Amino acid sequence: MTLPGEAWLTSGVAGLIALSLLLAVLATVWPRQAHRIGIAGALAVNAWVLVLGAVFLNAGPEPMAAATRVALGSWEAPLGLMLHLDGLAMTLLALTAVVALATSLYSLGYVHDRIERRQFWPLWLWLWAGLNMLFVSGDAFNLYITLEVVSLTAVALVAFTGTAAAVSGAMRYLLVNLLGSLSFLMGVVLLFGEHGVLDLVLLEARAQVGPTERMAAVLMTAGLMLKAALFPVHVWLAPAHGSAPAPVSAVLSGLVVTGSFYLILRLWMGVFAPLATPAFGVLIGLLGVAALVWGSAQALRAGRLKSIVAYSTVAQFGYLLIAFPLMLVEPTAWRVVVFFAVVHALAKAAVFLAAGTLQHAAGHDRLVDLGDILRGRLRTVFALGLAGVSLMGLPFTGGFVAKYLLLEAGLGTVLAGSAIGVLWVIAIAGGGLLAAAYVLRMVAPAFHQGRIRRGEAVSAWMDWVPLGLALVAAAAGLSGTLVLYTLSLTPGAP
Amino acid sequence: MNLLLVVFDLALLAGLIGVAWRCLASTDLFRAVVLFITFGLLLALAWVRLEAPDIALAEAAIGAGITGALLLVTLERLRVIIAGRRSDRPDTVPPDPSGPGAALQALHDPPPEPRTRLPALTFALVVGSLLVTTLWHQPDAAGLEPVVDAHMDASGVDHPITAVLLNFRAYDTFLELAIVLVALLGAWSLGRHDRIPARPAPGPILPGTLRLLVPVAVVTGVYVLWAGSHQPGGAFQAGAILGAAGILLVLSRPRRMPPPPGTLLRLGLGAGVGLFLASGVYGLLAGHGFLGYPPGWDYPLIILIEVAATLSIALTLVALFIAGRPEGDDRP
Repeated sequence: MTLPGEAWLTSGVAGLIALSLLLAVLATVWPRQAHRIGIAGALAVNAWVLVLGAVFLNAGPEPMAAATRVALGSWEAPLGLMLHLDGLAMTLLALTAVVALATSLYSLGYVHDRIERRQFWPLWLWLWAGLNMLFVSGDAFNLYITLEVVSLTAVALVAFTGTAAAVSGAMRYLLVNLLGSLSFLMGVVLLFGEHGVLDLVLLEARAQVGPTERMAAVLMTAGLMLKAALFPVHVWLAPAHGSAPAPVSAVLSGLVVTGSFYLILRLWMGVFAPLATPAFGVLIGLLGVAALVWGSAQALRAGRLKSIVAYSTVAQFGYLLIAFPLMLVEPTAWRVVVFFAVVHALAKAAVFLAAGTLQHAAGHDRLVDLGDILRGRLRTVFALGLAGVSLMGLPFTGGFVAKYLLLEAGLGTVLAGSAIGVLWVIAIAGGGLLAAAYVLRMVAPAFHQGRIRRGEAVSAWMDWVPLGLALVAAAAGLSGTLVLYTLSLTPGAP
Repeated sequence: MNLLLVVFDLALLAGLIGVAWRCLASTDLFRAVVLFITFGLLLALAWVRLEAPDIALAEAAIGAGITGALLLVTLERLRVIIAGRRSDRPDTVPPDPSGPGAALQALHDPPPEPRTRLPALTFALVVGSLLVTTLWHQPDAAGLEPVVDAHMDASGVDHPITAVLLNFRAYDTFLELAIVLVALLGAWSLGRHDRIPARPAPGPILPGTLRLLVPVAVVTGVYVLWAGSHQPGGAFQAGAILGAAGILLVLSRPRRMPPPPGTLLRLGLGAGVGLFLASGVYGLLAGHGFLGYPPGWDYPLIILIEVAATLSIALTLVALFIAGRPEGDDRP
């Protein structure tokens, strides 16, 4: 407690949560200024996360030196609840800050109606606060509540446009989310009943392989898979993500889904780690391959631009599932998986924002009639293509580094003598080809001969933000070492 | 005596399962809602039997009462919408939306297909039996009760549940308040509600009952709030009771209701989370940790936060009942 670095870190984490909550509450009671509060807050939160990250990385090369546990209201676990900051949480906080800043700037142009703005910004700021709280929560029951904050705001934002498609998509999303939350909560209750504590670190110390842990693992994982739209429980994703307003789709596909995945990873690296068996890993990996094939096939068939992007989320999350069997053979592979999720979130948000600009300019997003707008808005098409290239994993982009590292891990399992490893390698390589096919489907009309039209005017934010975020996604390849180093500062993880 | 209680418990359990089954199987939506309210009341009894009076109060007030009212008002809206749609068609006789025909016209949900029943039943039985087996294996642990009891003298209140909710795990409670608020923000984002016209009272009974019930509800709500510091009760239950009084007023609406001023309404809705957060940030700045209380100030701060939270919850529940956002909220 005497080290200045640690004092900075503990107040930094609590301060970040206080700041993001303060923004949400202010926007709620003062909706007229909500967009100004939101933009000022987005800048402030980014600056805060930057300083926090610098202090975190500076705290020392030992994982235990940087990782921090913060007691709220000075009540330590098991009585009170604790926040925690480690490499994994820090990485996702930074990702959230970047994507949220881009989305906020984009929303300045996208949500321009005075009355719509007042409804949009408070909900969006609550969603962002919810994500920040989810990533630093260290308590099983508190995780359930932060998940609820995220889900409820996400559902409200999906329904935001109020069209029949949006409302029915939101309704489906709500029901799936409630089922997922209840399943998660049941798991929490079982764990509490057995061990009498809710703190994740204490739970991890007490967990053994028993009926309670097995049942809780099944319930919590199933609930989170529902929320993360992992195959085979993904059917709700495309209608919800496809019909939401563009900035919301970007946040949903980039951050909200990643949040549920983060929790699955966190639980299986901690409380449920003793339960992981090779057979279970293979089962999850096979689901991942199926997701990759099915999602890509749907993306190749879909007729609307945003549907293609939404289905590609299902496909790309297949990679994250394939990573589970890899992690059993090569425990450090989890860092690669998180790096992949980070790059995916950046690229996917950029693609959704670009698609939103095109949809706004054309007034629709039917791919067959979009050619003239695509030819007229090359800046946006460039953003779409650049982020798409990162999704495919071509050299020099973040996606390339992520997939290269994944392939390396896959080949490692083959060398370790696992025959099924060959399937993972083929799936990782083949998935890139499928991604190339559907990304080219989106941008190809821009290269055809034909009429050129710029369509309806869009604000400068909508023009430039997708490009900026796509550049960040591509440049993420250069930050691989930094992200992987940050992730290595996670105590308890290999 | 013990045997009687066992018989009562078994009957309660059978009633819970039976009512839940009837509620899910009912094709008439009105009946399903009434059965849902019954289920909530039985569940409140079950919580009493489990010696959790706080949860029983919350279940009766929020789970059965407010949720039931919300479901019923949704049903009435659906009826009006459907009746309105039918009147667009020239070939059918438009029913009078206020006439007895419309009120009796039942909303039906098609019965589930028989082929989906068996898989659903099998799934429920498998998951249920797995859960029961798991619970069977669990030790009879006291959870965190001893730890909470050991820290009661430092909590500022005398009731352990309130100590956990507003001191030891205040962060969770703050977020629960936020969720209620976010639900309203979501409902408001979907549209504006129409002006609420006065409803001519059909007789002396409604205004008379109202005159008796509302003051009683207000006194009960304030008492439940006050009681929370030393016995079962607290902000959520008190807010639900005050909210119910508000809903009664909206339902009978003896005179035209003026739209509430937007700023004031927003302030009232945000008072609970606002004050809670302000106290939390002060704790952080003063070195007591985020959401921590300065020593000696815990009791007054908890009471203050609970009063603001009660007001906000009551307002939010009434606003959810009215559904759309008020006109005042859209003024420039």
